[in-house]
Amino acid sequence: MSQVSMWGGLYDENWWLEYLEGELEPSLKEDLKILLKNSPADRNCLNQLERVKNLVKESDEEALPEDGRYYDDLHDRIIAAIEEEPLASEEKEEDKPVNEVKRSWTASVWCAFARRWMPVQPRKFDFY
Amino acid sequence: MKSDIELISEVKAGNRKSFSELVQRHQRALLRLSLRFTKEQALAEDIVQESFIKAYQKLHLFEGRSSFKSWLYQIALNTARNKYRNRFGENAPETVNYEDVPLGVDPGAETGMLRADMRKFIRAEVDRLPERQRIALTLRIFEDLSFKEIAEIMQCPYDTAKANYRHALLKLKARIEALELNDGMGSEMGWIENLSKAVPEVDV
Repeated sequence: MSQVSMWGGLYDENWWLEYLEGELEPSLKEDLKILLKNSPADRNCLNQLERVKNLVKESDEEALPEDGRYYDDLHDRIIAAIEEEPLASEEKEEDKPVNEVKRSWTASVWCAFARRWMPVQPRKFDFY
Repeated sequence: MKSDIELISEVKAGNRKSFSELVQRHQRALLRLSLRFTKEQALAEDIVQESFIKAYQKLHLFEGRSSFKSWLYQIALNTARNKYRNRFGENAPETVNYEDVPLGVDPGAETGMLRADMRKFIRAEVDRLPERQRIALTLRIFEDLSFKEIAEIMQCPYDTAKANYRHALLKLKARIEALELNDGMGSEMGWIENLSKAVPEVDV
């Protein structure tokens, strides 16, 4: 599929962005490489996208602390906080309530009714 | 050196010390990510600490379908979002004072925009992006993550992660071109024409 982009190249920006990010199939990528050699407009489009990406990367200024002790302190604080926490997998079976029965709301209503009006309840009518 | 998965298995088996190894391995990257979004070291440290605590509490839910790093990033982004919301309410203030950012350059200047000014401008523009576009762009360009990892972290389809990144980059491209046109050519019509080609605000 080819289309003339508004810059006069054969492909529009979305294609060249896919190319730049390595998201095109190898065969299509090879076709576009050949196109780049012959189409200044497409070459220009790709160069502009690459430039923007590099500018964004260069704008990164998040300087992290370099002192190793800072990270040791941060690590120690995290571990100290975790020491208080139980792991969910540590919950043992004997800690769980015995004979825990979970009923739906309707089943609970039915059981309450049955207990009131039918003192002897066959097991088969218990809903879980 | 043990892999993250091996360490996690040891933690799940009851060896808390293995989690210490995971913290040492990932705390710096998590701090860098948190700083990118909060711009404030104290807040970023809180986010890192809370994220690791949450990861520890929920470790039994980690099944290894994504990398531990991606999972941790996901927790950190959600924690950062919640912290910001709690601190500033639903209307979080912008992180940059735009009066400090040169949005145009005197056409009479001998040289074009200085490099430092361009960096400032781009940082401001990145901060102005819709949240999901900013996250996708940050994770792709600054953290060098694949779109698959980005999709896992953002909990969205692969194509959505790519679309957010694409919209973000093309929007920045349009703004930079508009600025340079205004700076270099001084042509009002050229500037307006170029702005009209700007990518519309779309948060996918």
